[in-house]
Order: sequence, then C-alpha cells, then structure tokens
Amino acid sequence: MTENKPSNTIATEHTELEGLIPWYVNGTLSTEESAAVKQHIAVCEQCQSEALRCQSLVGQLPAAQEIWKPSAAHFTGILANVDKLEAATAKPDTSRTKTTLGLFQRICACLSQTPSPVRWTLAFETLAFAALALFLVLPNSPIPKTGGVFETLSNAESSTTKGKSIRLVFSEDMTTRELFDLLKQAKAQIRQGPSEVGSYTIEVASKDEAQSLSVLRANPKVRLAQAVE
Amino acid sequence: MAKTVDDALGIALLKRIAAKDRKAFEEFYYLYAEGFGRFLMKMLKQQDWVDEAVNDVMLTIWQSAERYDPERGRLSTWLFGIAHNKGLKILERNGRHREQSLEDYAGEVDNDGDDAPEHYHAAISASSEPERMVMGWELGDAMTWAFSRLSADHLAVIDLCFGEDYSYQEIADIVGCPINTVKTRLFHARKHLAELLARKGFSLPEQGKVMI
Repeated sequence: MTENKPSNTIATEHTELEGLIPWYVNGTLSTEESAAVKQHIAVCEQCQSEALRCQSLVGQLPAAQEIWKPSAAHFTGILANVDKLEAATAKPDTSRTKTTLGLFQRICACLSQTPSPVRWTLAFETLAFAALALFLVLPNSPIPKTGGVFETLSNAESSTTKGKSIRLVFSEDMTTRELFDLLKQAKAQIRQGPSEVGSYTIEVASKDEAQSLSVLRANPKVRLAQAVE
Repeated sequence: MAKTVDDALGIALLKRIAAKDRKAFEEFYYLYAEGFGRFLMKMLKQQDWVDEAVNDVMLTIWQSAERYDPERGRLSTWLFGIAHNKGLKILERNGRHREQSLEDYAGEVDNDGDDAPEHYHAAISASSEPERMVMGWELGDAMTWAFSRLSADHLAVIDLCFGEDYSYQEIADIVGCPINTVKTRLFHARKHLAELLARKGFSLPEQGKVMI
C-alpha cells in the first residue's frame, strides 16, 4: 500500500495537469498552474504529445464557412424590435398606473362594467345616502314657516301705481294663454297674483277703466272683475 | 474580439444604454456584434439564425445593460454567455439538440465521407498516409468536415478555448456549467475530434516543440 500511494498520487496529478493542458496552450492559466504543467510536460511524454496536439489545433481551427458582419440594415431591424419591446413593456406600466387612479375613477371604471339597471339603482341609493348625510350634517336650523303666505313673483309691491286696480278671478279652466290674450284686450297688466285663492290684481289706465272692465266681464271665464279703490 | 476591444469603452457604452441611449446602443453593436456573431456563426452555421441570435443578444443588452457587473468577469465573457444561450435556444427551437451534430450524424457511420468535400476524396486517394498528415490544406478540409460533425456543446468549448482564448473559469461562465464539466467536456470534444479525423486517415500533428 505504501508503495502504491506515491504512484496513485502521481496518476492523480497527471490527470489533473493533463486536463489543464488546453489552457496552458492558450495562456490563460495562473502562474502557479502554468509552472506545474510546464514541469509535468518536461517529464511526461504523453502530456507533451497532448500539448503539441493542442498547439496544432489552434493553428488548424477552421474559420466559420461564412463570415457574419454587422450591417446597417440588421441594426435597423434590431431597433424596430427595440421599439416593439418598448411598446410591449409600456402596457404593464399602464396597468400599474391604473392602481394609482383616484377612487372616483376606479368607481367609474367599476360602474361601467356593471349592468345598467344595477348601475342606476346604485346611483339613486348613493344620492339618497348623500341627501341623508347632508340632512344630518347641516346645522339644525328650523325650516322657516311661511305661515300660509302664498307668494308669486308679481307679489312684489309695485313702486309706482299710476292707473286703476281691478281685482280679477278666473274660472279654473282658464289657460295662461287665454289670460294673456284677455289682459291684452283689456289693456291691463298684472300687479299681483295669483293669490292664495286664485285672484289677480291688475292695473289699467284710468281712462280705460270702464272699457277694460267691460272687456273683462264679457269673457265667460272671468268670474269676477271689480275695480279696487 | 475578446482581446481587442477595450472593456472600459464597452462598460461606458453599457451605462449609456442602460439610460436608453440609442446612439450608444448602435456604437456597442458595431463594436461587439462582430465578435459574438463570429462565435454564433460557428455554432449555428446559418446566416439567418445568426442574424436572429445577434438580434436577441442585442435586445437582452438593451433590456439588461445595468446587470453587467465588471467585478464578475470581462464584458466579452458576459456577452458570449448571452450569445451562447441565445444560440442554444435557436438550435432547440429548430429541433436540434445541443448534444447533436448540426449535420446528419446518423449517416456518418454507414456513409463514410460521402458528404466530405470532393477535393478531399481526391486528395485522400492520391496521397500516402504520411503525406496526408503533413499537407496542411488536406488536414484543413478534414478539420472542417470533422468540426461540422461536432455537437454544439463540443464545438463551443473547443472554439472558446482555442479560438477565443478564454480561461476555463470564463468558459464555465459562458456555457453555464461547473469548471470540472468544462474540462471533461473539452477532453471528450477533443477525443471525438481525433476519432473523426482518424476516420479520414488524419491526426493532429505532434511534431515541433511546446511553445509555452
């Protein structure tokens, strides 16, 4: 056993160094490795032959049968593929920005995918909740009681009353159009009304009072036409 | 290529490419693509496949320029690693296995040398054994034929070691396997190459003196 040990060590060393010969030939071994291989080759005929074969392989290495060269056309093609790549990678970016959208936009996006009846129901419910919330949040001021005051735009007191006033009451089927036509015929203008009971106060020129009253009373839909002092 | 292009220049270009500078990308292409294109041409042997592989390598560079770490090795090693990987993918996609020869390997045993160059047959029949061994142009033809019979894996380690002068550590980085696998693979690649040459009556010359 003791005699075999050195020969085994030598055999192992030979195998290891033989495996390094290709890189000994291409000059990329470390200084220590290179020195070890060089020393071994000097005493090992097999490895010396191996080194020579590797050396001749370097000289005999066939070149590629065709030479590949870069070209402007090929690079243009690469750039086109870069553009496609950029466009493709931009899509995930868009989806990422979606996650940063505001709550409102996300709700809109969600609603757009909801069936129409459900969407409207949700909208009404939201409005109802909003109204309820407003009611609860707003200060508890009492709703002013109108006390039965019925006001119209014509309730405002006219600052100037130059003519005569006539109180008018129409039948219920009097239309607005018929009212305006009648007032035109009677040369009258509304001063107040309609009141709570449906009466109007109109004004006519003093000189036309009799004539106006006559026109008004002639209309079948006029229930009352009376001069007011 | 690995020995001629200054890494500092390439690293500076990579920084600009990482910032999406297309001019730097173009400069990088003209500086480096020929080198790994040559390697891919030996590996793939078809111009259109190499066009595609170089395109793929450049797209990877465009997307991952910032990933190159000079502390982990030479720029050319990183590039050849990407190129090797892209080349293998193209081979696989076209139904080739990295362990297989690109040529019709099955016909090799039965049809001895029928697909070798025509002038190769003429030279063999007209020459004696010693003459065949010393006539470089004949050996060159046999080498071309033998190389066409090697698998992509074997071809890559032989070319990276003897053609591109990479260390075993760099080859391990490029092909993505342990150092011992690289050593074993190169041993078997050379053995297979010697067998192929022997079938044609050639061997690599052992004359001369070890130069190192």
